[in-house]
Parts: sequence; structure tokens; C-alpha cells
Amino acid sequence: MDYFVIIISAIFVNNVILAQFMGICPFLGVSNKVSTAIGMGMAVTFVMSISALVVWLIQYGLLDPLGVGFLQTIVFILVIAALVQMVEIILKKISPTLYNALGIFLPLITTNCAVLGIAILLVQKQYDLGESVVFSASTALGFTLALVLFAGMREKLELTDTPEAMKGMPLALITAGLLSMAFMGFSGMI
Amino acid sequence: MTKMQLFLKGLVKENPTFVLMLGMCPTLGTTTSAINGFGMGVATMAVLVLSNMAISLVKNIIPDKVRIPSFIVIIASFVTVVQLVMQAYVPDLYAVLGVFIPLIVVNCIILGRAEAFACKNGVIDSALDGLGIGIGFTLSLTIIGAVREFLGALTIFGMKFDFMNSDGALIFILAPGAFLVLGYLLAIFNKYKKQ
Amino acid sequence: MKSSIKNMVLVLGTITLISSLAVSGFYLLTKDAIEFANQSKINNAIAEVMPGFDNAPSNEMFLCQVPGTTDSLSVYPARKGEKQIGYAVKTFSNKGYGGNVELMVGILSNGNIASVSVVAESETPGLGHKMSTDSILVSQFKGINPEKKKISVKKDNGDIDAITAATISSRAFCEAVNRALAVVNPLIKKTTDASSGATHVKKEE
Repeated sequence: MDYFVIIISAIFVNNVILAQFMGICPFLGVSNKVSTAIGMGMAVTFVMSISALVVWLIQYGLLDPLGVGFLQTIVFILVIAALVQMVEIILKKISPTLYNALGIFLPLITTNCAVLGIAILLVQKQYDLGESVVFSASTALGFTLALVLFAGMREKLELTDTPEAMKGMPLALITAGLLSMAFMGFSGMI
Repeated sequence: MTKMQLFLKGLVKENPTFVLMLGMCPTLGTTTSAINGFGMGVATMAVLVLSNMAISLVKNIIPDKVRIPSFIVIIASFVTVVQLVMQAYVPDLYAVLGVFIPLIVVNCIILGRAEAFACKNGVIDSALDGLGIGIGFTLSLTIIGAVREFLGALTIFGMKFDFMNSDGALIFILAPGAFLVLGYLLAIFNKYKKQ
Repeated sequence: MKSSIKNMVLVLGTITLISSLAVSGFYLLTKDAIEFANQSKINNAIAEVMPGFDNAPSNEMFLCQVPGTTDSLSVYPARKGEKQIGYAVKTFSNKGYGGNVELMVGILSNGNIASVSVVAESETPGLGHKMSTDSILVSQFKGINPEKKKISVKKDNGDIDAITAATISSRAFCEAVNRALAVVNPLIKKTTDASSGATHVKKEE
């Protein structure tokens, strides 16, 4: 499939948060400030791209030849958890600056269902290695885009006068709904 | 706390969706109709009850440092079992829920209950806790699904309400509708909780 | 419990081993049922799109490559007694909005489409998903002669009415049907060439 179509579709049309509902927890949890949103987005992009590579190799190099595809869920979640730990340790040693920027977000990523979700999806869609990495990286970019846009809106919303019952989560969800509606406009692109 | 209270607290007081705000991804992603929400809730409940019981059984032999990885392995195994059973006996529902079934593994409700309850309590209490929270989750998902299905297609559990001579507002079944419906339901829930 | 390297490795290893064994056991238990569920879905779809066959097409399945691509489709020959009455083809298109659109297309030996049924899709509920829940698309394919009708949506100058607001899904549906036709047409030609009577009838039409 055309790389361009994969990129556009993953970032805008099938945005991982606003259209596929994966990674909602960090989306609602760490989106109060634009700066934290950018940090989280970068950490996810980093981990998701590496995990796509590793997961692809495991699926086609190990699970399929052995005929144990049904162990997919168990193996993938363990690999992702181990990978996040490893990235954390390596980053600490190699680049303390990068570690300081992304470090606090890394432990949160294991339970970010977008990482596991994308790993399962790229196997389901039967992408080859190149397509898998491009698909994961652009999905993560779409995640970052939605997160940063949403954080910008929430910074402004905090200053507004809203009914007591709507404060906090309800208003955040309704804002996300409007953002999702705006993203639906992209669906004509492919 | 009596066994009854233990069971009932998950329904309203500690409702995982409306109070604790956990497991939002399946809550938004699978509630396109009442039956889909219900199916997702039951699948999650099955994993929750089984993993709670298993974890409370083995809690004393697990060293602290590998607690979380061990829990994840146990949960992932039960998820795979549920996945296989659904593929065999309800293939249509399995096809609709798709990727959200394996994603039960990373549903924070399940790891959360393992950490907060099952690793400190006995088997029966853990099972009751899982059952209560699971039913609370199923109930919330079914309600959200029913509201979205009604607004979006004028049906509930597939039954047609033919009083307005229309097909409903499709937007509520599409992605934005998930956020909007949950947002307004939460606001209503908050309003009545405060009184 | 206190952690030491020894008991950490031992416990985690044992848990992983027991879990994998238990899951594998369950896999073996449910394997037949999953196989059966998939098979009966195929059989139901064949029965839906092919009228009046008395063999078991799913036992005679063979793969056939779509001309000009690397994709292969499953072809299920349908016979009544000795007579070949048509082919059911499990076809797909990966141009759907939410992934692959899988259809079963029944094609009679005179080249007409008997019927189409949806095997699997993950299109948007309320829009593209209507191809499964509603007969808007499927009904347009019942008993048509593909030589007289252009199978593509009206937006692409074809003869098929797309589902409202789901042009992409409808396009994928048409593509899948066209791929099935591309696979079966050479097969039908072969059988009609073999029996001159059939060719004669076709000329009269």
C-alpha cells in the first residue's frame, strides 16, 4: 500500500484517539498543559516506533513459525513492558537530557492501550516491516497532534465560567467530542 | 464491610466508569449499541472475576519486585482464554468488538483491582469485589450503548421506536457521539450525586 | 514477600509457564469449535448466494489468483448432480474505510451474479456498516448481468447507488465484486468451451 495513504490515514482520518478510542487515559489525564502534552506525545512516538519494529519481528520470526499465534496477547504485553523498562534504562545512560524530558512519562506508557492496540492492528492489517514502522510512527504523531490541540483548548477552558456539574471531566469529554467532529472532516481525504 | 456491601459498592458508589473514570477506551470505543456495550462489559467482568480470584490465591508466593509483571501475565492469560471462547461461540460479537478484546489486558480497572484489592484479600471477597465492579462496568456500558443507539438509530437492543418517523441522528453512533454522550451523562450523574 | 533474584526468577518463570500451558490447553479445547464456527459462516454464506446445489462446495475449495495482482481468492465450485451450476467466491477488498471488506459472491455458469453476501467488514456503524445490516447494496447485485451493468458507484460513472455518505465503503464493495468476477470469468469460459451446447445458448441470448 502507498506509504502516503498510510500516513494521512493514521494521522488524520483514523486518528488513534478521536476515531479509534485508544490511549484515552493519557489523553484525559495528561492534557492540562501544552508542555506536558508535547512531552507525553514524544515519549509515545519514541516507544511506539520501536515497539512496532520489535513486535513485527516477534510475530513473523517467532510466533508464526512456531504456530503459537494464540499467545500473541501475552507475548506482546510482556515485550512492551520490557521494552519500556529498557528504553528508560538506556535513555538514562545515553542521554540524560532526553531522559529528563521524557522520563516521567515512560512508566505511564505500558498501560497506554494505544501501544498494544497498534501492535495488534499492524499484524491484523498484514503490513510488511516498512509499512508497520511508518504506520506506528504516524499513528503516534496523530496521538501527539490530538493531545496538543486538546491541551491548548483545555488551558483556555479552565478560565471560563461553567456550571458546577459540567466542570472537569464532562466538559473535557464534550470538548473532545467537538474536536473529534472536526477531525471527521478529514474523512474525504482518502 | 459485609459481603453484600462489598458486592454493591461497585454498582454506584465506586462505579468504575462514572466515579473512578477507569477503562475509558472500551467505554467509548465499543458502545455503538446497547448489545455491544453489554458484550464488552461481560467479557471484561469475566476476566476481572477470574484474575481477581487467581491473584488472591497466589498473592503470598509472589515477590514484591515482580508483582506487576506476574499480575500482567495472569491477566493476559485470562484475556486470551476469553478471546478463544468468544471466537468459538460468539464469533459475530467477537468480530464487532475486535481489537478491544485483547486490549482488556491494559484496562486499568483490572490491574487496579488486583493491586488495590485482590492482593490483600481472600478468594471469595476478591471474587465478590470483581463481580460487583464488573457488573457496575457492564451496567454503565450498556446504558451508554443504549443512549447512543437510541439517539443515533432510534433503536434499543435492536428494537425500533417508530414514533418520530426518522432514523435518528447518526452522529451519536459515530466517534464524536461517544464523547458527547459520556460527557453529558457524567454531568447528569454529577448533578444528582451532589444533591 | 521479600524479593531475591532467585525467587523472582523462579516465581515469574513458573507463573509464565503455567499460564502458557493453561492457555495452550484451552486453545486445543476450543480449536475445533473455532474452526467449526468459521466453517459454518462460510457454508451459510455460500448457501445464501448460490441457489440449488447438492455438493459440498467447501470441501472442493481451491485458490485462484486475481489477474494482475498477488492476491488469491477462495473459489467454491457448486454443482447439481454432475452439472456445474456456478461458483461461489470469497473475495475481499482492502480499500474499505475500516480495513478489509470480505464478501461471498455467487456467480452462475452463464456469468450472471446470483447474489452477494457480506462475510466480514469493520466499516463505520451507521454508515458503511449498512452493507451488512441493510440490503441497499446487496439488493442491487441480485441476478444482474455484469456485462450489461457497470459495477462501480455512480460517482465513478458506474451503475451502482452508493450507501449515502459511505462512498468509500461502497467503492470497496464494488471492487471486491469485480475481483470475484475477474477470477471466475476465465473458469466459466473454460467450461462453456468444453460443452458446445452451452456456448450455443449463450450466443442466442
